[in-house]
Amino acid sequence: MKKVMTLIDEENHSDKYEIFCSFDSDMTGRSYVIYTGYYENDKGQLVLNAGYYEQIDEDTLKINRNLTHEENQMISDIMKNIFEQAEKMDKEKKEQKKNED
Amino acid sequence: MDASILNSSLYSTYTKFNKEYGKNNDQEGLLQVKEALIRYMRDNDANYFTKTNNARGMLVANIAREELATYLSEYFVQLSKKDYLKDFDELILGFQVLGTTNQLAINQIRDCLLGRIDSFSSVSCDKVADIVCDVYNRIEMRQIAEDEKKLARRTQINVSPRYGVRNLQVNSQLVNYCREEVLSGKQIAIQNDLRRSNSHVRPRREYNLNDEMIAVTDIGQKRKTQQDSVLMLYHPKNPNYKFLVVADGMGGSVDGDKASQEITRQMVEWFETLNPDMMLEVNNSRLRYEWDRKLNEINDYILSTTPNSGSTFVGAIVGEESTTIASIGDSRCYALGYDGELYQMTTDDNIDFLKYKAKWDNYRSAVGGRLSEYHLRLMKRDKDDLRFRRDANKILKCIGANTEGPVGTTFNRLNNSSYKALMLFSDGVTDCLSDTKLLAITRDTLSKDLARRIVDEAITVKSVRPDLVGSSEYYSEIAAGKDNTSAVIYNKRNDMGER
Repeated sequence: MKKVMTLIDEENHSDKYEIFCSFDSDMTGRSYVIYTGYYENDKGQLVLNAGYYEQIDEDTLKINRNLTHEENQMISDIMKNIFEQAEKMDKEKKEQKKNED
Repeated sequence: MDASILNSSLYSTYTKFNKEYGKNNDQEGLLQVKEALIRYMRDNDANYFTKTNNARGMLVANIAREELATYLSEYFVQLSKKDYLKDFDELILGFQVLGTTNQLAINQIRDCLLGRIDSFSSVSCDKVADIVCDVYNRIEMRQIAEDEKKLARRTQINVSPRYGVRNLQVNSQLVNYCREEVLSGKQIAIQNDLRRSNSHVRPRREYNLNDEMIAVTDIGQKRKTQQDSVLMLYHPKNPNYKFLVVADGMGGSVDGDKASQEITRQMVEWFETLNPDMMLEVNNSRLRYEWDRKLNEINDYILSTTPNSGSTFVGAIVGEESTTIASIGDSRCYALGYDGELYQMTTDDNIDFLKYKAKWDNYRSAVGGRLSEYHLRLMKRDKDDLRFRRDANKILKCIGANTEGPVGTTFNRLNNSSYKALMLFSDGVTDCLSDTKLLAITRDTLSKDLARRIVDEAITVKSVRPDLVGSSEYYSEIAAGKDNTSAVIYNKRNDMGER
């Protein structure tokens, strides 16, 4: 999947977004994408959106953001895992650098 | 200086200027990053950084040129003391650094980067800037890309059991799960577990590399275990070079899965350590020689460890100008031409196929190379008959299965410009689907869905020939999914970057 894709939502609005993460799930039989348009909320945090998608062509996805509670839970778990792993990897790198120095 | 801000804005430029996001080719991105660094330091020009994601703004607002130049010089000087430098130019500059004090080297390299002096020792400033930025790119940008892959891999390992997550990509850097599962042995083990446990999940593995190489391997409907193995790889030094493999473990032999797994596992190591120069046209004979030698080594290994296990092999290496195809047994490679036709590029090592080929080669020679429409239809019918032969699966050559002496690899070659897709299949596909049916599916299906659709058809649609009922030499029906069923497909991009 490309890093920047055109996403068409349920109301047929289309715009370009940067894809943060995508995956398929055997549990639901669907493919999901997590993306950002680089908007920030009131707290200055980057807003990420998620939906399941159908790929129209190489540059375009048709997405549906109406997710079940289970799907939202799954996406939340996956995102949490990504950040946890990123933190772990950061720590490992710092340890490694310390040992090299 | 905050290196994370620098790397974040550099990486944004790097990913924007790679030819295709998600494609494992970082040359464009690295060149752009190098140019951006040099222009910013030398000319105070930040326009070479991408505007997207605020890379330009971040850099200009947060990092002064002097600060950046000092940081990069310190980085290089530190590296030259730690044996990280690789090519000749880097080593020459590193040598000059070692011949002076650290602080003097840092100051002089910094001044080179800022354009204040003409040279550092015997190295011109343009060259210094080139080398220092190249080294930084190589280590930092590639490290970030590696980290993303590692992150996706580790995340997927954690979440996959609970949610059945596949093809996890973080920031479009895709992990090659086909490679990972071949090396770990999981490719076959997962499918066998699914079949054993009567899970509702299909006993199948699917892999996708940037929609460019796609593989699907399925146990089929009748077999208890998977003995096919599939592989697809980019060469680690040049992703323009690719490698596709199907190995079909012989069901009649004990431990056929062990043979096919061993073949694909050893092929990963062999291909990834091949000198990329071997993909040049001038070295094609040498490539074939090395490939044949390796397959014979694998044969010897199997003979010494699991002598009764055996497997077919079909592989394709996409090189600089041409694609080399190697085959042993009856797994096949087809090329989809620009004329919209499918061409079988391998010969089945099977008596009936060889007779069929000899018959039609001779006939074609006799009539000066061109067959009439009528004879073309006859030839297609003859070929389709082969699928229904009662002893269709008796092959003359394989790897393992007590094969003493050379395995007898058959090679073929075609120009990269002559085809738009390559398809490798185990006989689980080609026994169940005629060439006509394969072509119809190919014409009717998006390239990224093709491997899956072909395997789905092979395992769900039976073939029937009422005209063969009662024959002692032929079956009149081929059951859907009678065998392990595998397809590996390479879809080329055209000059517009489209498939």
